[in-house]
Amino acid sequence: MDVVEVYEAVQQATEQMRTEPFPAYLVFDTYRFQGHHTADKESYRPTEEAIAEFRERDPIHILEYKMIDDHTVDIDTTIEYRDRIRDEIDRAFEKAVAAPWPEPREALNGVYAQKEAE
Amino acid sequence: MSERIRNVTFAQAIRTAIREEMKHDEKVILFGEDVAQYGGVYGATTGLQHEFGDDRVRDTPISEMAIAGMAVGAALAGYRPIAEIMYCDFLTQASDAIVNHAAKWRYMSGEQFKLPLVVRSPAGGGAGYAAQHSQALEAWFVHIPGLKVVMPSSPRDARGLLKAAIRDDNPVVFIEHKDHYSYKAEMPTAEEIIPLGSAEVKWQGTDCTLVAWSKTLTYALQAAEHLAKEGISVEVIDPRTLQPLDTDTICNSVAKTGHLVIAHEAVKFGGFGAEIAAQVVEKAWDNLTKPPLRIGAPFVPLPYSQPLETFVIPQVKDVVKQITEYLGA
Repeated sequence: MDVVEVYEAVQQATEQMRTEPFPAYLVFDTYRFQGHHTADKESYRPTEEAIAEFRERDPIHILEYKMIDDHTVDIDTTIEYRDRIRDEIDRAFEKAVAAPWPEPREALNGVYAQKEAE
Repeated sequence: MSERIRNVTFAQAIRTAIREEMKHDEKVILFGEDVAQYGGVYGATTGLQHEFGDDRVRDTPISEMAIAGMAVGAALAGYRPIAEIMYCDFLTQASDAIVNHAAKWRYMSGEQFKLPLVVRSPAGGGAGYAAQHSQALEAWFVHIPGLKVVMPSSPRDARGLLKAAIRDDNPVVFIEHKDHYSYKAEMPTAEEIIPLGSAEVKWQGTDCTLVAWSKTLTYALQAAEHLAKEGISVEVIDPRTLQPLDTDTICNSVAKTGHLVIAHEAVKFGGFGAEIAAQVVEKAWDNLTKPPLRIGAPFVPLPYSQPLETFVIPQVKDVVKQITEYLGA
């Protein structure tokens, strides 16, 4: 799926609805690459070959190639982004694992908004 | 092991009940999210589609509103649907069909219709599923005239009560505990139907009556065992069905012990413990030597983090401590 195409299709549909007040249908063929959660057996998943076409249509990759092609970014920049984001996730994960368990009584906080002091 | 009794998990007991009832009556059908091909997220319906076919065991789209609505329609059309709502928290989505349709139509139509349907749904915390997948919401449904509410605590009760629920001509909300599905205990191999509205004394005692259900019942039994060693004799009662409620069994026990404690996992404020306390105060005031004690969760959503979740859900040690203080004070 192409993010830019999606943007243009939605834009076109909304513009049409503003001039002619009729509903519009937009159908998106999407694919979920990961299970619902870590314990998901994913027994519904077809073979890797069968989902290859969806991998080729991964919207992140399509956008990345497109931006490289039209020189919005160069390939080194996208690699740098990828590394930076992966590093950020890794650090957040390590921090969470290393953090002490919260105090049990913290469970009682945050149910209602309290009036802030003026 | 005797041939007539075998050890089964809670999930196997549920499956046994559904299987037996589907064989017994071809009008019994089953549907819900992932109940067919996947066999249920907790494995309670494994193999049923294979055995009974696609017509009688169906996967549905992710729409609790549609699942409950379909159950109402099927019940009106003469079927005995068993609808599964994957988490009882999602009963919010299904409630219009259950509360405003299933519970009302017999009454509003001048008894023209009956709605023999069962909505099965897992409740409860302890597994780290956070606030939207862990609630115990039985108090909502006992408040609706027209509904019956069942909350079994053992595989044997689960099977016997589910069979009674499926054969009942009224809508039944059947609440299982998600932390219970792998819990193994004895169940007779012979068919057994446990009537709705009958409590059971699960542990005999003389000093204090302790009423609990679902997973808290297992905690109550452990607390009773622990307290027995300290010379405190607790009588543990499982109401098994909350609507209709067997108050006689509870009041008879209170007549013997003079003390009443109700323990549940749900939030204490507005919880079903309040109804039981009020029933006993109204019916057996003279037998109480002090006001009833309620043990329940503090007024917070169930937290995700394990130590916070353990703090919020009443544990065995909490039941032991509070009963000791209650009897000692």
